[in-house]
Amino acid sequence: MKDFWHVINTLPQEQWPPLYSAIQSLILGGVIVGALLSAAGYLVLLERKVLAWMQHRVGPNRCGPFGLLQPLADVLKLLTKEDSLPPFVDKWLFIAAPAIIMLTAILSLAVVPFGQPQWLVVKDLNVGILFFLALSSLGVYSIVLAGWSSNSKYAALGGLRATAQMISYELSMSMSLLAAVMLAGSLSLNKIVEAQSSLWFVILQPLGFVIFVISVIAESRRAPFDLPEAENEIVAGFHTEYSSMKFALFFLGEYVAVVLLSFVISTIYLGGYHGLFDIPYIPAAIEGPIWLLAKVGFFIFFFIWIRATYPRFRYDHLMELGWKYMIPLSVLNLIATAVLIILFPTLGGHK
Amino acid sequence: MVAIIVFSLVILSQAVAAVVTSYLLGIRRHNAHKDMPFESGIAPTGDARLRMAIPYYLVAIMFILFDVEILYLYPYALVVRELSWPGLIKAMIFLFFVFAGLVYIWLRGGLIWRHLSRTAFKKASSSQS
Repeated sequence: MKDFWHVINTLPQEQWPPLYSAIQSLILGGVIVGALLSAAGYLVLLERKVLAWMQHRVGPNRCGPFGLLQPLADVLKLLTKEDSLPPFVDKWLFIAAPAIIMLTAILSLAVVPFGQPQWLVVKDLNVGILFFLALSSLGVYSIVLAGWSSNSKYAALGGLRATAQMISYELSMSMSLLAAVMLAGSLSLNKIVEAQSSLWFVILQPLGFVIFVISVIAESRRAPFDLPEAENEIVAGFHTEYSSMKFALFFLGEYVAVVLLSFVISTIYLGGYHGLFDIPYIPAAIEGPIWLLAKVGFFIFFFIWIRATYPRFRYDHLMELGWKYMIPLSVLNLIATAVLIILFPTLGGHK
Repeated sequence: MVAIIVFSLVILSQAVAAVVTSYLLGIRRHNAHKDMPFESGIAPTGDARLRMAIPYYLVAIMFILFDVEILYLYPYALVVRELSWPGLIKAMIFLFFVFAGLVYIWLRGGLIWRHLSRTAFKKASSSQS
């Protein structure tokens, strides 16, 4: 055990023995998954509360003080509901779709560094950004499979809409990330955070930041881009035929995506675990996670705020925004960044 | 690699546990109405494998084209400083050819999502230039 701790603290992550990697990943991964799933439950409550306050309502207040036991009640109810598997669906794909959305949503967190010590990241991949992009592209599969395997018209229409929307915004998302990669000169998220130790990328990349935030809201299918689930047109979209825990997994997947994207935004543009000042009386190893979680908390609130503020887009406006504005603007941002970097090679923490 | 595999197993075990628990706890009763696709309360008609509107195919093809092109830019992004101006000029030539494609699609009306009649479509796609 002493040896394990010594190795974890001193050796770089690539040189750990596979067994130690596995143990570290099991512990940290278990903590992440457990924290994320309970956080997603409470995020549902937080969203309902914040939306209620913004609309001069009270919000859920029956289960426990301030409705704090509401997530528990929701989970118990969803667990004991009928797990419907209609005879007209494509059975295995129908079951696989919610599992895929969970996997792709949570697995991206493996490359997000939570703090300075290297045991606070599951695996610091040197292609971290590509890993994140690949998983968010794979996330489209769960929607396609759910919509297609349900064999129901509303599900098919919702799946189709979601697919077109997600792949359109994927382009501007990866293009705006490209500018941040240029500044840091690395695809590893840890290196990108280290490059921001003096200056956060949000100051160097204001346009890229705005494009990225809008793209990830569209990518996670949240209001005002929630057309795949527009209830007045297509009932519940791709998860019309789902019930019980399989439905809950889609729901959890959406909230986990909100948390994940808040982590990614704060890691790439807001300096990740770097804080503005040293917090007194707190060990340095915990200070990073505290700053990161504070930024993530702000962005989670921001996502809810956006939902309370803006009405839903019309579908053609949504696609035109993606193709006619976001993509050309992100190319412009990319070229401007490249020129700036060549003129001032020290930008982005380079010597 | 080991770490990623272990992490994905942790996640998958959570997802499977959730689905299996609800399968064991929930009641299951079938009846004729429950076993129909939901269509707002009326009896479902026809097949659910609908014919899609053409723009959906178009957007899929455009995605394939542009996503691969953007991926080619990632290696360039890592060496912007080393390649300096000559590299930027080459990258700009590459970007020009890619986005000439986008402009072409735009001018031919490939980015129009409204449902338009044939004459209105022609008018809209020519006025966008």
